[in-house]
Amino acid sequence: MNSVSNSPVNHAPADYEAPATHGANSINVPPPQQNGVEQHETNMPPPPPQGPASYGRDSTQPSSNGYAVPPPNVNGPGDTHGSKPVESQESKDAAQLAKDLQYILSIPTQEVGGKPGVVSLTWLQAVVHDPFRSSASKAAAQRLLDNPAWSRADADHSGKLTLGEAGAYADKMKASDAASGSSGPTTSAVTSVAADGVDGGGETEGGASGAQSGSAASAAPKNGYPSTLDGSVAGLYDAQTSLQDQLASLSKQAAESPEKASQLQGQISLLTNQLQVLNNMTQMLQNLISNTAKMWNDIAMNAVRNIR
Amino acid sequence: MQTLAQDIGLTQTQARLLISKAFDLVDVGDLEGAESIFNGLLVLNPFDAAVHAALGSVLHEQGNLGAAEASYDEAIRLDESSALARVNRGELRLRKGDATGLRDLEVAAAKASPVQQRAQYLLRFYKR
Repeated sequence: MNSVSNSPVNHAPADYEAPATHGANSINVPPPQQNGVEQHETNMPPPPPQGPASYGRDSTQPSSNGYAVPPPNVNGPGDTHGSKPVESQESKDAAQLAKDLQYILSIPTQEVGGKPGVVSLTWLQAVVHDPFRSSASKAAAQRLLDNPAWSRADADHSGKLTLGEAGAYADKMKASDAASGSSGPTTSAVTSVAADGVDGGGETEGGASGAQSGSAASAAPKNGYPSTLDGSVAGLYDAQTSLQDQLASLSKQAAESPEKASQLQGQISLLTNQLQVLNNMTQMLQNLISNTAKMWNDIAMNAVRNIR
Repeated sequence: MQTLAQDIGLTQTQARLLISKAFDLVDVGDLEGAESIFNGLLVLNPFDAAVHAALGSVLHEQGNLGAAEASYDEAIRLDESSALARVNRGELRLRKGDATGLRDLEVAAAKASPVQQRAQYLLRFYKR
């Protein structure tokens, strides 16, 4: 009798045999030597329209190689580096609550929720369903809605929460961890959150200089550039400067040594081309930034007109 | 090898944001804009298979099939399991009568559904 791996279906064994879709024994796929295209036209539905099968938006994640690694956030909530032992779940929830609240309060249109520095559950629900919000804001709002720490931090159960209340609650949980020996040195949650910066704030592009609330406005970038388009454009200028420096150096070498000039010409040409590509990209991003800023401005102006 | 992205401190998170913006442009039909961003990202980090695959898709849609295939080739060279590059290159090759496109589709299909792949393997095994 034939034997076959007993491994469960969803755990392909290490020696998992190449599956059945290869070669002439394939059930569904015509053998390559029979000319796949012609065969498909007789046995399969009509071909899909021209163009790529997919752009793969959802599946396109940048590689983990070749990009800068953000420095570890030594004192930030949820940090697992250094000497800090395991945090309790309550402490993690509280820290996340404070962090998300910090983020939500940093976005330009936070006044829509009512008083500056206060977030209500109903406003968060509106954020989650607001088509103009960035996915980062929606995700932060949803996390806040789902966070079990909300009701504990919201002492009077009014359905509203201030950054101070959330920060105090997070500090209390950290202190509780420290007292029970399950956590390291305590750091103010609100301070930590501010130092941690606002990550993924795509919504703030071009409009980040708008209304900010309290300490949230001072959020610092993690590694020199915040995770916004503004920050990316700033980085691109640095990249262009770096390429220009390399170009200048190569051009100087070529001028000093004519025999090397032809050898260097290829590199000079490549760098010049790369510089042009980066310039195009920068222009494109700047257009996006100004369009987004204009959109927010139009929304604000419309709101003002409606109020009048 | 140190990339320009590493030199300037561009992180994976920032790259993700830029990729997302490029796809926003694709959604509104601005393929040239998306191409600019993907090309720029590749200057910053030429080792990102996902960006090569996404650029290939844009070039593919623009009808620049030779350049699209080259982008898919590079994506697959960097990451053999790149499903997007495999599916799109497979289709592109089959459309021009190159049956090696089937192999790309098989690899992509296997990646998409290992369970179905195993079912197929078991069927074949017990039918022997």
